[in-house]
Amino acid sequence: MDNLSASSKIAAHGMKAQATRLRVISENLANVNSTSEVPGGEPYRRKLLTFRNALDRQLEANTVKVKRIYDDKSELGVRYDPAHPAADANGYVLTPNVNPLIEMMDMREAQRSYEANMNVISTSRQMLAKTLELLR
Amino acid sequence: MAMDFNTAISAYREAAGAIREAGTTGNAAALGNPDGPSFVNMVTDSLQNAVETGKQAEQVSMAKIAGQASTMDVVTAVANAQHSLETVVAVRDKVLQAYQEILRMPI
Repeated sequence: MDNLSASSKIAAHGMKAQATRLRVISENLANVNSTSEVPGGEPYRRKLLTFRNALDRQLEANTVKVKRIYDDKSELGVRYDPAHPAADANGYVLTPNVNPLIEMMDMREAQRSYEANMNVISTSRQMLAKTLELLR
Repeated sequence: MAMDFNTAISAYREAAGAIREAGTTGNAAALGNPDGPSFVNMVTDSLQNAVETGKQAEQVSMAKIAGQASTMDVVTAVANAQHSLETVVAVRDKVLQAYQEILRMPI
């Protein structure tokens, strides 16, 4: 496969990885208020993901893959709300460790990365088209 | 004169071969022929490849409609098919142009 076609395929892999990242971010944002059902139980935990490079035999190049989606083990929030069904004996409710501001920043980063990959695709297409123009 | 034309055809075959996938068979015997392959074979072979990539693009599009493929897959497959077809069309136009030049030759 020629390099210009390969680069757009690699960029498509990058776009897929960023799409997965955005999915995880949307999960976090949607569950920003998800608490436990049982008293003193664990609420929703923020999810994170890691990327890794994967050698594509067909393209003979390193593409990006989502390696793993895991729970953020950082400290959960605590709120005093004795009327809540998830409140423990002292009236405290554990809240998710999701910070909407951090999620917004992550989202912006995913968006920028996605755009960068889209630019790679459009540049490679332009280069192919321009090369073909030489024949006309 | 004839030799020059064959050289040109060979060059176009090289160009068409670059976009030809390894899987397509075509006419290997004719390609190895020192007289050079016929224009018809060359166009048929490369067009076959373009049709093949077009079919792939359609398959991916159908998978997308069924919810099994991502938008990025569809975009790359369709762009690939488009590029293959454009390459074949450009080469065909160029060779047809050469033919027409010969037809216009005063005898």
